Amino acid sequence: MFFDYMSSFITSSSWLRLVLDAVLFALFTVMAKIYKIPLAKGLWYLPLVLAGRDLLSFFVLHPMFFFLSDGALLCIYTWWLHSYNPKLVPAKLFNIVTALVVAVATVLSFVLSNFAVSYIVMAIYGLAATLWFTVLISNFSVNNTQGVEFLVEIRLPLVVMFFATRLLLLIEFNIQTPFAQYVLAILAYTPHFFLLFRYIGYFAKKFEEREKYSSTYINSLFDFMRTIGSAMTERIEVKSILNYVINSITKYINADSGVVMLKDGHDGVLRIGAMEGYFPPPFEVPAIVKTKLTGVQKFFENTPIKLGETILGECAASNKAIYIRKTSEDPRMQSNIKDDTLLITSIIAIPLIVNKDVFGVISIMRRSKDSLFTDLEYERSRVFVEYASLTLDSLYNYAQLLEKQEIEREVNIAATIQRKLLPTRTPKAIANMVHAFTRPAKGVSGDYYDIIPLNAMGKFAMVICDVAGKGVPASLIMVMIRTIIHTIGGAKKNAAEVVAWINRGIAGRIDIERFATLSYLTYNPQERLLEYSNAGHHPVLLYRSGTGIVERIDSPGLPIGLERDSEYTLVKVYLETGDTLLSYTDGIIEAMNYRGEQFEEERLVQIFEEHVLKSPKELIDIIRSAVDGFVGQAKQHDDMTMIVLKAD
Amino acid sequence: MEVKLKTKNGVLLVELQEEIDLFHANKLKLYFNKIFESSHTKIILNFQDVTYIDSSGIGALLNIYKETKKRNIKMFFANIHGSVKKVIELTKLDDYFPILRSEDEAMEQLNSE
Repeated sequence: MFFDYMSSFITSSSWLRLVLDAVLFALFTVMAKIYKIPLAKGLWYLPLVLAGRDLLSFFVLHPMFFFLSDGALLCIYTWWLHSYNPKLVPAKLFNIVTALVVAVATVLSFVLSNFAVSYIVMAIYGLAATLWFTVLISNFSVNNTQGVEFLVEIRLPLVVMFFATRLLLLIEFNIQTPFAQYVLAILAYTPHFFLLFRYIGYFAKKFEEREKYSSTYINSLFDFMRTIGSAMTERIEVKSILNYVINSITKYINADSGVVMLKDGHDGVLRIGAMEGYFPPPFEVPAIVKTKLTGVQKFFENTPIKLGETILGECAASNKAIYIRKTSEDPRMQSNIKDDTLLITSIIAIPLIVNKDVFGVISIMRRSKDSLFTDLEYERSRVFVEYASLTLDSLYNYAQLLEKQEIEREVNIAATIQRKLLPTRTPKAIANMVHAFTRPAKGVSGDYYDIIPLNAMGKFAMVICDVAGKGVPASLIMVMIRTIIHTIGGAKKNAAEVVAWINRGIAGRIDIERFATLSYLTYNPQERLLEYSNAGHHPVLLYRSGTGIVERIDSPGLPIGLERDSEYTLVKVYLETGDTLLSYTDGIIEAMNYRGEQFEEERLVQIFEEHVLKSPKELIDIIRSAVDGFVGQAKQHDDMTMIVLKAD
Repeated sequence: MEVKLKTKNGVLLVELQEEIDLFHANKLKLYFNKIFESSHTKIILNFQDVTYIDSSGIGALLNIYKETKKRNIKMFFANIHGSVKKVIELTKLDDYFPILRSEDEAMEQLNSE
């Protein structure tokens, strides 16, 4: 008896199916991680349900399990559809009906003590449910739901496979012969395999496209930066820079047209600064004007927008970006939804802000019903405009300066740009963990630091950077570095990859003597993982609470801006509670007293060690007063910057 | 900032003096532009008397080094010591710059090629 059982266990057809389940599950889990496939759609449960059923079939090979699990699988599929559009799919109803049918069939077979009845009920229901699923899935189209390209692509072969395998199973639905176990039961897996493989493939392709898009996008940002940079030195007019800005944004986001509206300082209205393509005003115009494109354009040019009126005015008044994917669904856009000269199908308006002051609005639009803006494009355009804000603002200041021929004021301008770059305050969630300090030596700094939240998990980046030279050109390099980190820091790239990106973006585009040393750190408080990569900057100091020792962390790599292909190394450290990190620029240790002695790293380490148990803010205050006490009245000629991080 | 120039065995010896900082970096660059105009193809930069260098000074050196590579001029840095050495090491440029220990070593290297 036991041997019989063992031999049937070993030769069981379940093994084959179980192996298939495991392969599917492992593949899906690994791929999901690599390509960031959203598991939320529930498809992840498919291999789990299959594996559960096949495990059970070792002990009891009962056809009922097949029917039950098929019911569960269909429910998963329906939930998956449901997640694409909750309004379109009555998934709850479907699942309730399935549960009812299963219950009734089970009760019936017990009452009649004849399972054949429930097999027939389940088989018929299985077909009916598949039919229902077919109807549901064929209702989707790219026009009524967002992001269903994948569904549309695979639904025909998927449904055909569903029906084929289901009909095949009818040949022998009590699954007792080897033919049924090895061929029919395995064939029933094909739709699941097909779907999951295509699902992985779809996201893998999208992922690669996104990576490619990211790099072309970043390159376009760099071109943009460089052009504006050279425009400043070559004294090109503001007007042509505005044209360039709107041209770039329209081109890279692939919009039909775009406009820069500038706020008039005197009467506080918005006027057109530059326009790319045909941009109809997002408000009603007189009927007589509407007949001709040129008439509409003229009317818009001569109609300043009051703050708070129309979506452009609203955007400027509220300081907030407005993104209307589908104008037909927005009450504010009702004058632009008819297919005439005013038609706008999708519009984005983003304020140009510096230091919370709005000085204009950039807006882009599409005028075709089948290409609406996507969330990704909206995000991209925001980064673009944020960068444009900083540069346009400095450009204005610079232009004013050139007009007045007061070159000595350049220092003030650069200092203003820099003040705007620095984080106004540390993000609240990490304020207890991190503290920073910076002080320029003579009004304008070559130092730059930033603390940037990277993702919803609480991971953030700390960057400290020393650009050689000073003034407006050095400030612009800081703007470039900042933009690159803000753009790519949040992606999955590790610290060394981010530094390599920064370098690649800057090398060859700047004067080599404006090189920068930079230390880039990220910290994920949940994993307690610190990542570090260094481009020729001072090593950071790390106090380990476990050993009580201050370690110096360094990694090889040339400063930013020398060689395009410099390689950078990643250092990973897991922090413990109380571990404290200090990152600083050379202004601290090279601070000089009147005797010409320097503060030196040894002294810094000593003070750091002595007060390391204090909070980041106290620690920074102590170091600062120690340096101030050391130098006395001696004049400093280098900027000082520090960041302290303490692990909870 | 003063710079002493000598010629020895067809090699131009440039002895840099005291501090190479923000205020001297530009002068140094202009000075080297003149040197590049001359027909010298072998140069040694002697740092024996340099006591201080800041990032602008490093920037000027980077610029000069890049220019020599472009013009196919052979150049070595020699006698780097003290705080200058420290700064170059810290910025990881010790492998990047063509640094040799002494003027003699540089001379030997230049003449053997």
